[in-house]
Amino acid sequence: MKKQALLIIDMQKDLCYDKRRHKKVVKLLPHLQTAIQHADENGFAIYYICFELKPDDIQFKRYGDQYCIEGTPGAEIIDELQPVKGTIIKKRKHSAFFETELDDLLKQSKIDKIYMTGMQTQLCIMTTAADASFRGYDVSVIADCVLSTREKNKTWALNWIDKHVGKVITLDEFCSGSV
Amino acid sequence: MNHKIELAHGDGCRATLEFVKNEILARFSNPILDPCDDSSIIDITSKEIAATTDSYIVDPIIFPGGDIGKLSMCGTINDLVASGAKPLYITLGLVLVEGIEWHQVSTILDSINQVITEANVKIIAGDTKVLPKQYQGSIIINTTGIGIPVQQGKYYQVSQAQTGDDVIITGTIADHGLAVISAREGLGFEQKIKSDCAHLDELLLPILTQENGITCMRDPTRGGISNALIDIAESSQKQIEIDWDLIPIQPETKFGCEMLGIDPLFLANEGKMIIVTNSNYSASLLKQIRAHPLGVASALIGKVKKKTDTGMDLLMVKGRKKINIQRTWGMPIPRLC
Repeated sequence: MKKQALLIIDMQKDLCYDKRRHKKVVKLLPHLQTAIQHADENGFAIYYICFELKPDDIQFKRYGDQYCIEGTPGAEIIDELQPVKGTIIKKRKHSAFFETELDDLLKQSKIDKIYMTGMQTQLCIMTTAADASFRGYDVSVIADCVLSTREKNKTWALNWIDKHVGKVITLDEFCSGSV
Repeated sequence: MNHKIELAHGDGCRATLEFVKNEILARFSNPILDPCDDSSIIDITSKEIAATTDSYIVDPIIFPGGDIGKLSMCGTINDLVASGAKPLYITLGLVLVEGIEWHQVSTILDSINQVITEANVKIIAGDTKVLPKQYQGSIIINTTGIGIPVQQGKYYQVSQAQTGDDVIITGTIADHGLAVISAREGLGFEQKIKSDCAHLDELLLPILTQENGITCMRDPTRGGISNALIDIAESSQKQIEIDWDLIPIQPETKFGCEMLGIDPLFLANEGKMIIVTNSNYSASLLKQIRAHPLGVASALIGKVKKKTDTGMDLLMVKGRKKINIQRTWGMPIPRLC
């Protein structure tokens, strides 16, 4: 039996309460809460991946707005997912592995299978899935538990993940333990 | 020793002198450089010399597979080799930004030393300046390279490609471009893809001493192989046709480019050469190149053809289609960036 982890990516106030995607977050939350509950009840390690950025981060110039600045309420995990049921990992870049302790923690716990949830599918989910795959983890993305502001980006990203670095599964498959 | 570069290190006073003595001369000492006169005197007996100059900026300055120091030396050496010259001397202009960590500067200077030692090239002149910290970036390197033709009177120019010539690339494409973007943006591909940054003198100089059929060469750095091939086609008044299926590319680079929405033909290479050669010599050249660790993945990727009335310089066969590859205004912007 593989040791397993659930990653919940970027479910932070600045990103989730943004009006461009808040409706999608509201629809996503019941699925995500089910996934977290299943992981918690079945002994998965759970990691919440959160951006923690400096006010002058170069990403802000590119995307034109500021978000998840360290020490601000906007960088906190959304109320709907409180209390958190796992470890919070702070990151500066898209991949959850980039200059973070995630890889070490997963290896210390001998985890070799990762399920991914959160957002955005075409950015942080996709790069983290690739990074995890390159580091030797068995990666699955739960399609019902990820979102993109634009649906076509989600579809494209899931196809890419399925083709190159991991599996795309449903929440039912995750909860049934069939994959 | 201070742990960061200060403005004083570029002021020409004691801090500069100590930097030059302890960091530059300690690594690059040679009889031409050591006098530290206003100019260096070099004795070149060759009737012809090859000269090239380049400035290097890269973010991050230390990346998977290399750093800006290695990049600057390899780039200069490869430019000389592309013209058929044996690299002899390089000048080193350092523009540092105040506040850069000392250990990073040391790493970069050590890389420079390693490359010039391996390639038996001397640093013969240099300069160090420091910009105030409000300038973005952390280090710029300017070089001038000097070499002499491997065979007197024999040099290679991009205008010399001939109809019927074969086009060879000495290894996988786009690795440097993807590795640097990935390291800058934290995309995870740096786990698998390292920059191909390498000096090609050891691979190519032996070939240049012999009858080789080569008509021209180009190192496909920024702009990727597409711009390098268009340079050759335009200058030679020919059309070049390449076959996508023959172009060597690592799978992770391929799907990384797909993720970023950029064409690997446009991503930089820093340890590859495009070689255009008389087709009678292709097989023996490839055999020789593949025998060297830097040329293992080399491949024949296309052919030089007569220029047609369409004016198209570079065509790529992909499946049943022939695609006209054109220059872009600038580097295509990756989807994430």
